[in-house]
Amino acid sequence: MRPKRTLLLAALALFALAACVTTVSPAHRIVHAERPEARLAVSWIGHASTLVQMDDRFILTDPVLVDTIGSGVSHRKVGVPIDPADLPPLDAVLISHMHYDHLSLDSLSKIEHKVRRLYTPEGGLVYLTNFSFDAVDLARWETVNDRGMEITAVPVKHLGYRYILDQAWMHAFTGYVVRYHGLTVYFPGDTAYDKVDFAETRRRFGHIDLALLPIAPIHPRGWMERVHMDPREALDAFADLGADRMIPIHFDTFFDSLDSPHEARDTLIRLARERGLSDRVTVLAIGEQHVVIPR
Amino acid sequence: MSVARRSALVAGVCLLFAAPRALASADVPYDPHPPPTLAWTLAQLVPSPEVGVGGPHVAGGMRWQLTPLLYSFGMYRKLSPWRAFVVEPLTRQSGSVELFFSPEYLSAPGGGDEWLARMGVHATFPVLERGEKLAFTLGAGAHLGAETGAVFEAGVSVFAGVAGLFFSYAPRLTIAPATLMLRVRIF
Repeated sequence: MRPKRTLLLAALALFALAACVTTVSPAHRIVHAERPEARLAVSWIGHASTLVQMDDRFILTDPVLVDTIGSGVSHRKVGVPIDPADLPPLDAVLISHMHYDHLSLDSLSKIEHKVRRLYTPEGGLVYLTNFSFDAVDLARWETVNDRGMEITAVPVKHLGYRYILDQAWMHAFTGYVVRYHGLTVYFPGDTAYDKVDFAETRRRFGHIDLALLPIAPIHPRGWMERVHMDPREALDAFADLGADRMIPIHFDTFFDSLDSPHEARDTLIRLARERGLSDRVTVLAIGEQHVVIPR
Repeated sequence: MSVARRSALVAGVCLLFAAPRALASADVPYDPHPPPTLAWTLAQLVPSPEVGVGGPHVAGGMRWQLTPLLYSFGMYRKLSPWRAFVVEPLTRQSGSVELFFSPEYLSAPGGGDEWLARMGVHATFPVLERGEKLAFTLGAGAHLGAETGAVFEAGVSVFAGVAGLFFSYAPRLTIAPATLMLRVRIF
């Protein structure tokens, strides 16, 4: 069978299977989102959604706070571990790209009154709709100073469209680096491995305290490697970025690949051990919180 | 049309698209206004099938859809609300008013066939997930062809407007006063 046909059949099979997933309750719940004992802390909400606390600032990445995305087609495997009402006021919401699992309009509706400003990649605002909060789009390497917090759009390697049919005009995707009070956090959203981009980001920012790096989907690798890192590549990216700490994201939340359950997580743990990085790579469960740098 | 009138018309159209962006914000965001491409043009040739009733025979047909101009009241306020021809899905589905032009072919076995065109105004309102999951549309206009008369339309659309079900009533359209269209729309 020809590769394109195989991929199409695989995509259709994934689409059908994604609709059949049953959402289970998370083992951990985030009740106290704010961690007074932390300078830098992360709560993993699942997939690419993280709540990052940098001193007194709160940043939410690619929020998915609902159980289904894609007009109800794709279900979370593990439910949302936080009631949106328990989120603190959000200084910044970072949207990396327009895919349903990263830009969830339903989720933004739930936190609309808490968001002070939302960031999208350049050209992304057209898919935002008219929320009441302020929104800004950033071009590659563009930096804004947001009340002392520096937010920079950094290059990643991915795809920008939301509906496939819109790929003629929608090419909005980016990663972000956030700096505040001497702390630096890297969030790429989705990305394939790109040594040049990672090295350039390291050159420009020097020191990165924390990299939130996607490690899945892995399979089918022939397709995924063009747009997604696997655990091995994520560890390579971690090295290229020269970050102090890594927290993996974008795994075990949606049925979006041919990966076996926990494959990405287990592979990362094994590889991190082999490379002597276990003390710098922290794998969280959905709903878990981690203090990266205490006060 | 005189040169002066034509220049005034062009200037007016330019102003229509540029003014809201200039007024919206000092830091104008990137708003590309995607132009028609060959792929988009070919996609517009995909017809929406329909069935017509109320005439002497049940009719089948096909309809195509064009949007010469759209004003979105649901898109993000820093962007220009105006679009012509190529309309990003959420720009329409999140709330919009548009001019529509729909060439149409109707055929009733044993009752002849007919080419016509519908044109008028559609207003689309978001229902679920800011219109991306579900939106409804009301419309009014006229049909032109062998017969001319008023048209009233109502419909719902899902999947960012790609699919929908539209009911249309044209009391003076003899071949099929009432039609139900399975709308297929690629932006």
